[in-house]
Amino acid sequence: MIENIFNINYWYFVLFVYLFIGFLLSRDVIGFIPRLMSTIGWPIETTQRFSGTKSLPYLFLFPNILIFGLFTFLPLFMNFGFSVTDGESINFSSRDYSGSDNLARIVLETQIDTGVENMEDDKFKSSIADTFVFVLFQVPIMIVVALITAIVLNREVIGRAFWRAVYFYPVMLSPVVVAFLWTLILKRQGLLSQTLMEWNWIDEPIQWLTDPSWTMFWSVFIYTWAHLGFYMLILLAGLQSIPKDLYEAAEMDGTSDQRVFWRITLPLLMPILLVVTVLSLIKAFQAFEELFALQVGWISLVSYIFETAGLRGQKTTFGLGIAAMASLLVALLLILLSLLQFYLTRRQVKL
Amino acid sequence: MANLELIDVKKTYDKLQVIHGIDLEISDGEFCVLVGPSGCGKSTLLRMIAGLEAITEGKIVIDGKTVNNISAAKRGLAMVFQSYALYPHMSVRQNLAFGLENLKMKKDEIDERIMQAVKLLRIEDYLKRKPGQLSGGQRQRVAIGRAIVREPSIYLFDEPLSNLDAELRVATRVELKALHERLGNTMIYVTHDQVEAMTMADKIVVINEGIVEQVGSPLNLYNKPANIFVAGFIGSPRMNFLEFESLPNDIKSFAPSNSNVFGVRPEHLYIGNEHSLKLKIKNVEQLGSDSYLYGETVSNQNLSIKLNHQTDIKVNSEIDISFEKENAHWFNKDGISI
Amino acid sequence: MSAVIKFFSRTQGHKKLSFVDWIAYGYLFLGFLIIFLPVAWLLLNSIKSQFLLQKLDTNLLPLDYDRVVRATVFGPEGKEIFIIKDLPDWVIYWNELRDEDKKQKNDPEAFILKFDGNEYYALRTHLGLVSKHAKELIKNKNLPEWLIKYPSMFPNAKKDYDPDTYLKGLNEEEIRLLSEFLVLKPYKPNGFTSQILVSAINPDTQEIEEYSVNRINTNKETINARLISNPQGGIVKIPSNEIIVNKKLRPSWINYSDPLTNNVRGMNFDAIKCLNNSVFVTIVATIITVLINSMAAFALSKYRFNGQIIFFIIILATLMVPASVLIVGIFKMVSVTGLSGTLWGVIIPGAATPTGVFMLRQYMLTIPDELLEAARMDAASEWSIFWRIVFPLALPAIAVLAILSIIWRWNDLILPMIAVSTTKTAYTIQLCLLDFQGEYVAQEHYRLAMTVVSLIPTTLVFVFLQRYITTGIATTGMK
Repeated sequence: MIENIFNINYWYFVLFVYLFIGFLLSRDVIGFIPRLMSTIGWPIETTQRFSGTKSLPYLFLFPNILIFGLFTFLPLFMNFGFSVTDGESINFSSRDYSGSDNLARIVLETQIDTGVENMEDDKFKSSIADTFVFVLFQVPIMIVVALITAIVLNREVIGRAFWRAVYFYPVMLSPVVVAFLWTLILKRQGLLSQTLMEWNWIDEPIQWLTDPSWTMFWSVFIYTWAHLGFYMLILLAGLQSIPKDLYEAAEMDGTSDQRVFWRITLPLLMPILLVVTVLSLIKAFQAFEELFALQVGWISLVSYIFETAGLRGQKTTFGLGIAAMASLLVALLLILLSLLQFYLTRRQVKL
Repeated sequence: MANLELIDVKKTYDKLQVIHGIDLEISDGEFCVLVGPSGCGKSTLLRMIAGLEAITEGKIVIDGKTVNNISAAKRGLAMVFQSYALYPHMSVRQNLAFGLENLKMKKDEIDERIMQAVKLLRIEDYLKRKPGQLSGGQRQRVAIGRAIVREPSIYLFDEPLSNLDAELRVATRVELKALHERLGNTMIYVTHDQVEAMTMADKIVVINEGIVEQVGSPLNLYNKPANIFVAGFIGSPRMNFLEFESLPNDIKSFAPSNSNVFGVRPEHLYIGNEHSLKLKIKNVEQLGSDSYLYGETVSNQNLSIKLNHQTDIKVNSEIDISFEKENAHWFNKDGISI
Repeated sequence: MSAVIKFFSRTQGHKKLSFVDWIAYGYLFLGFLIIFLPVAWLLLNSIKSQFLLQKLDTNLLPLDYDRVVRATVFGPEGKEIFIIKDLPDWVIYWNELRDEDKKQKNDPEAFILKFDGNEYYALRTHLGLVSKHAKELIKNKNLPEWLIKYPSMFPNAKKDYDPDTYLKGLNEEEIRLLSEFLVLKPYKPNGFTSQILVSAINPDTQEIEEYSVNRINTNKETINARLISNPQGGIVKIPSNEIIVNKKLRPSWINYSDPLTNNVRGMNFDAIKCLNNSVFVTIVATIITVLINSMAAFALSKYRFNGQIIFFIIILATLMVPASVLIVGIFKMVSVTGLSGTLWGVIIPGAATPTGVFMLRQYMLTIPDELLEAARMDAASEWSIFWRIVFPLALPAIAVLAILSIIWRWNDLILPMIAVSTTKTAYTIQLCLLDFQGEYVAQEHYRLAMTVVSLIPTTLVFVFLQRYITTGIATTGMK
């Protein structure tokens, strides 16, 4: 099968041959870096020598487009393929065509195979419902907090760079680290339960992360904690691009601070605010890594895809197909949101 | 050392034709200036010669060899750009060496050529500096130096003086001319400034809207413009044009037949009444050495006069002006010189 | 102090701080606490000893308790529980010492000679000398070699051997040593647990006496304690609010040094390998990303060719479908291309980034075309125009991309999960930390330390290159 041809040794060999040809062709190039670059770019130089510059832009684009093709567009088609077939294998030759069965498995109330109650349907629907609840709370809360922070930082505060850095720092942390930080505090015997017990606010330690009445609160809190700085930064840049003389003119007119905010700041910030909102919607629907590492008590859409696909061992008969079907539905949602974002940012992208 | 021939060269961008078939011969060692108003296609023509733009139709021949399909690098030309286009991240020396390195030249020879060029242009002291640390004039020299080290058969200049201030522009003009004398190479120089064209060129090519209006030596163009456009474009201040019908009869009398427009240069007008034109003065400019008078004829056409002395003529006064017969230019309906 | 207040209450306009200003600073400070405290808690916990972490200590600083040792020794008369006091630290913390410290700085052989009886036996086990002495004994007495392997044999393999017969010719001490080594009845491995030393009023005698306790939980009214003067007397309950505890600052650096010197026993966690993998992935992926993204941006910004806009749209369109919703398809493609289970499977699929291409293209549009034309007149090939002219001139944008790429790659979890989750040797540090979670509760101190180590690169980038990141985000609006 194809799988055997493309093993890693084959790639090493291709790479070696490529560099070796480049090495030979760049014999007369003097200097280490020129020779290195010549070795890397020999197909482009050779093409120019023999057939002019017409095809060069395509060659410059080739590696990037190749990777996009192999690892973004083909996977999308593969997902189509998986979503309409059944089987544990990832080889299409050993998967059976099943039409819309996988869709039925995640949305119908009874199992198409046995007629019994469909558990998968529950899990998928609850992951959709939970994700929507998450997004519904997380996005507005984060936007409001980010906006407030940006406005505060846009004032003449002492040490603005320091505060900005503090608020931005969590963005630099990996999702795994964010999860560990908060697990330390929120686990059963973590800092929060211990402290509250010491203050006699609670009697029993609480499993903040898995307790059904707390898990969503902390998911929203931690996700906002981790991503706030990014949106704050964009909004701050937006605020700073509002011309100062508008504020000075308003001050001359004796406009109150509130009125300045509602009539000048907010309308002028609105385009960026919209973009930030859509961007955070897109990200929130994809929320996965932090929640997965936190082992929260609910399953987000992407977690659902990840866990159903069973890439880390526990494979199930329909898992791959169901995951692929679910991810197509999520992809559809994200594409719609992204198109909205492109529409909102179209001026920035001069084609 | 080379001569250049353009045969019916045309250029079309997406159906918009910008060069309408140009034929031109530039012989070895000539300093040829392409001049015309902005947007006339002169820069496009230069870039086609350089090989930076493809030719839609026609032929470009250098030394008897058609170079249509030869890349810019291999035509053996060098170009000085309007913005100088010095590589900002390289030192002056690296800027000069870059082209030679691309030709895989030996290091000794590169050094030798650079030393010759920097001596010629007196930029020895700046070799280690980056272009950003140089003044406009110094950058200009480096840009020229980059062309010189290539020892090209033809030098191409694309409005190289337009970024310099007036004083430096005059000085550099002189230097460029001297450089041409020294090197003796063919040089093609694009400018929209007719003063530059007049002062530097062996041969001026006046281009307008993608066609060649006239080719000739500077004085030839000044004295015998082929048409209204050239007459108006060459010479400063601009030549005066009056409608034939509005002229007084005594002037009409010595005009050739078919005349439609009468032209006379401001510097050829003087106060007097041999061939009298009545003029009402609207504005007077006193430059000390010269005086410019602007006025209206009886038929309300504008006319300007350049006097090479000071004057006490007042605004709103009415005067008679005159000119020598041989300084009159006559154009027919199509604007062609008679 | 008043100078500090003065400093903070000064504003740029030399106005007095208004009410709104105070709210603003209050808000900023609150945010600072919420952001800073969890990070500080992680840092402080990462230098707490395993002992403290197991006692669920809530102190900020690694304040270690005075410890005593509760030993359990098994003998012919049954088990005896007793407490050993005043042991030097290195003995108590023996299990937390680094191997070289164990050998170089201390002499356990000489130390245990100061003790006798059950204390001697307990310390001999604790300091790991039983097997050493037993092996010497086997050698000296010419006993069979299989005795050395006997303790590690499977139970059914042990049936084939009868060690009892060899015990007969030995004296009592030697029998005890060998029996402990071979785990023969009535000898079991001796227990040796560190406990917290506290002082409290003895409810019987009303005098202050020393107790050993397992854990101090101030929420409970009483604490289970064992009287040090009479450990056999069983467990007594003492009121938790009347105890006196001695603490000493003792950062546990071995949390860091053990995993980083590959000195972690009894677990499948190779921190060095994971860190090396992450460093490799980050560096190589960043180089490849910068190279191919700038090539694509060069083509899109400096040439006119058929399909230019379509290519640009295709590249931007990939923003819409992130890797996290394509995992099944990417998993398939990674295995089809044979990259599965190798670091290349982590590097290659993420090497082409739409953000990078977009950002570099926008920057390259500002490089004047005349420079490229000058280079063409200078006989430079298009490839050398790319890397000798455009690439160096786009360096400010390229630096931003490189820094973003370093952060993306170091923090990435999804691609490693797709590509290498079944190959332990190719784990990146994030995957290592994630895999560590839950599985090895007893190794929590190592996990905390390694989490801190994993923060170092991104934090360094953040501290020194923050300017680039913030401009990058502010100009493209993309992360």
